Amino acid sequence: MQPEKHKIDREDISNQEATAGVTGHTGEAGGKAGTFRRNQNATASPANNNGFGRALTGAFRPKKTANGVTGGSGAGRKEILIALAGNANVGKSVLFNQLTGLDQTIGNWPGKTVERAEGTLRHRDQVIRIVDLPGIYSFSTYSQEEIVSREFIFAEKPQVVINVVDASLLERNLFLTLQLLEMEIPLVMALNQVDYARSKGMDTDATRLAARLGIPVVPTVATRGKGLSELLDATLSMAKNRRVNRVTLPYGSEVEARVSRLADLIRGAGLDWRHPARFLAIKLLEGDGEIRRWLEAPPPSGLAGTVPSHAGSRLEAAVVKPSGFADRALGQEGKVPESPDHPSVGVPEVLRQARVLAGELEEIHGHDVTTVISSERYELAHLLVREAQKVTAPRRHLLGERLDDTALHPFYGFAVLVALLLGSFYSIFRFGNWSSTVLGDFLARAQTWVYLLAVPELAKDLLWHGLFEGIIAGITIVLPYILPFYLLLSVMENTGYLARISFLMDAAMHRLGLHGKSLIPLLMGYGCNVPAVMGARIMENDREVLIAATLATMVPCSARTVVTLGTIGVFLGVPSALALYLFDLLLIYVTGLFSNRYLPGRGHGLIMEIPGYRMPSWGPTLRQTWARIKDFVYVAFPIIVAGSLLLEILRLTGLIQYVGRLFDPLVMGWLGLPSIAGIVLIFGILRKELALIMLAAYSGTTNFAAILNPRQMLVFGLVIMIYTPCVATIAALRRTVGLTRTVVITLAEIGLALLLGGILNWVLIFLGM
Amino acid sequence: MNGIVYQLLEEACEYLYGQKGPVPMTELAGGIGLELTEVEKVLGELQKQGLVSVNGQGITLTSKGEKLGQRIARKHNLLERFLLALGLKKREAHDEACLLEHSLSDSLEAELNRRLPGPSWEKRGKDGQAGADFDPQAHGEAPLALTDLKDGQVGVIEAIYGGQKVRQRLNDLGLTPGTAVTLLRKGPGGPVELRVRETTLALGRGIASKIFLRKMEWDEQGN
Repeated sequence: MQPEKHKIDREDISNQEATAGVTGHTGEAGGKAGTFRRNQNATASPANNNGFGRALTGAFRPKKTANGVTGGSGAGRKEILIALAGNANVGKSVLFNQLTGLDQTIGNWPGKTVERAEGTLRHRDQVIRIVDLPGIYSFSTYSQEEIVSREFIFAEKPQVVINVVDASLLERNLFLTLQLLEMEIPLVMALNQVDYARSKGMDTDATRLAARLGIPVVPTVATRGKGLSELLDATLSMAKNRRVNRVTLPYGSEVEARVSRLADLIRGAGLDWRHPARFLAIKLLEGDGEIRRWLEAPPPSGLAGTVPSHAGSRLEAAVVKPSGFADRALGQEGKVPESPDHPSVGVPEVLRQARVLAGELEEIHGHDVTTVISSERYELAHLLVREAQKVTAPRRHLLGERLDDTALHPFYGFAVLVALLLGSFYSIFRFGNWSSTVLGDFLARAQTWVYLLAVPELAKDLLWHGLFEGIIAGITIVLPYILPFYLLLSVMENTGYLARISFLMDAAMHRLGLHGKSLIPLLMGYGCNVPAVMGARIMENDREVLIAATLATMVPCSARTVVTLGTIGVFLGVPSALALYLFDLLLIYVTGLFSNRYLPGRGHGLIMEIPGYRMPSWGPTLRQTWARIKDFVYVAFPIIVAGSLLLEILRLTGLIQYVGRLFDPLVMGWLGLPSIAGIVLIFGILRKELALIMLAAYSGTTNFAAILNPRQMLVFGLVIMIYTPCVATIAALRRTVGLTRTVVITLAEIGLALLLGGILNWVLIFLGM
Repeated sequence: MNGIVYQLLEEACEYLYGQKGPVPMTELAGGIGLELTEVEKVLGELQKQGLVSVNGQGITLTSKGEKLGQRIARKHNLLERFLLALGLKKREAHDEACLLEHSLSDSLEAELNRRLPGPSWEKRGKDGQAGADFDPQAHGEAPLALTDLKDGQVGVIEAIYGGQKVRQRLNDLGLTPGTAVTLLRKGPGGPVELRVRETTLALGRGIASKIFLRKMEWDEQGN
């Protein structure tokens, strides 16, 4: 039955080919396949898409068509798709920004936490869609970034991949280039930062490199926009000709012999319809689990009905499926009838051979096979560099290294760090305080307009207090506090200083079961806990993510800082507020120590590149800032507004009094606070800074000293600071560590706050306050 | 103390050294091929010697135990290379090394290390071009961990221990056997900053202590 089905699909293809010819979209060799996609996106109904998906993959065997052809998303519009791939810190984002300007969208890869940036540009009347792949060093460790990149390349088949390479770190960058070449995709190299490399005494011969690699190599200086036009020209001509590199850079003889043998086997078995045979062979020798699982996965039965459509968002098709290799079964089905006379060995035999060959390599070299292949790859990179790059001047002691002597000094390093952090916190909260008042006053004018509306008084209250005040509260937190804070954090990151902080703090973080990198989410927590908790996912293992996320919820965010400064800071003085801050830091530290002690497993350890110092460029800095604030806008903001609405409804219906009374014994008896504070605390869960506003609203005064004595104010401040993550943070936690852990963390923090608040209350009473 | 027992202690430390995090007793038993009851005895002795600490999650090496484990692992690696160079199969070399590692003296170890060309020069598949800038015969001391280097010193990577994922990540960043590494500085509390293939990396102390090197007699500039 399946062959028949297949026949139908082939017909579909020829029909489509005919259409393509008639409408005359393109005269290019591989343009037909691209046309399917466009037509399919525009017109095909979901039911047909399965057929198309199969037909497509059938037609997509790299050997037959000229590899990697995908149309754009717009129906009938000629658009080409291009990907930027390269190491982190090579100026890839800068290049992306220079190319696309403001015309870009930032999101996440479906189902992943990796940022996806995409943009379009026009060059020589050609619309080009560019996807900026995450910065990676290799395609081997199966990190999210690497999987996303690999899947993108094989599933979405960009017409051209631009490999952005740092000319001053050529050897390490070529390590990735060699792997991209193994994928046998149309590749163009942007040899970036050639000026910086030259200043370091490295002269790179681009022509030579191009000849050896068999791909165009264009020298660029992305920061100054140099070489971009040439790069795009090379890219367009590559997209037109689709000249796939045919230069094979052989490994050492022992490795190469085994790669070829395995590749032949794979070819014979007809398994190379999606990835090139040599690539599969290398990956299998390396013991790549993803590829092995993909080969082993049995094609699902009842194909047509169950396999999700290939159309729609191409990205979803590419990444969202658990295996990540959605179209395998489809394509294989398309393949089988094609080669009926191949007396092929099966997948198990190929895998067995791979293991045997890998074992032989380990025996010869006395190292792990992955180490053997990495070594050989670096060996190749090393030879290429020696050939193509002349070091004309001896290495100089660069300014950055001298800066590091201070920045990483065991004493001065910390002094600089503390000074910088305190300085920036102080100025941000000074600025925030001022601008938030100005902004709040300005937005408050809307109240007059709301109350002029011809609706019942009750609706006005609901509209104003419930909706508008919620929105205003969000805005007056984001713009004055969170935005400048994240901007500063991005600047610190892009200058390279954040990596230095990670290095300095690594040992301290180890005691908490984390390592230096976790400083990034923890520092983010000072702005808003929501992006901080989400940011905890940069950590390498589950245990680290859990600890980092938990600690991030305890970092006093800007809303909590506003409350602390607005009560304790104003009425008891800044030193008391600072003392509370320090106590919170101590609490975070102790919590970290405890979680490290009692959580099973062990941390991963720091492995991080320390990039050279550089001036941050605006584009990437703003982009990063937005990527972080986005979490606040999309997750926290709606919850804040919804919380305000709920609160207003409870207030208008009078229910709030009863809720408050329920907790009186705890609030009045144990914490020694007025009943009103209980209500405020409960609804502070919705928004922490709301606590302050509510306190003012209920007591009818902003002179909090009139309703809270100093003891109560301290207790109130302490409880507010630690008693629970706000609703938005709880939502973020749930996404990051799951529901059960979120409940445990939240309850534990409430318990801790009540315990410590009560203890503080009774100690202060004992001391006679 | 009984020599056989001591050998078992060394064996246990070596095994624990290669593991991440606290190891449950059953796992240790499997790892060194003993019955559970026997492991209990060994464990008692290990604790008495202050080599391990035991808590609810399992057995963890103390710093003393870590040193011992590291020493044995180093000897094992060296012997295995030696035996491979003699032409033994990998499996045989491994098993023999497991026996010999306990009786190899430190001085013989140093001597063996001096005489034995590193894996990088032995078989690289391309007539030993790797590390052609360095003469393997002109230097050589007992293998030492990256953390043992002083600021500014250069070493050549011999072997990297640790989990597969970590090793792969380090390989990807250019830390492959036979590569010269410069220790730039040690940070407060243990992380190291190093340069490899013109790249500057920061590694946590735990990871750095599992990278073994041969020290070079000169610094980066070749002095």
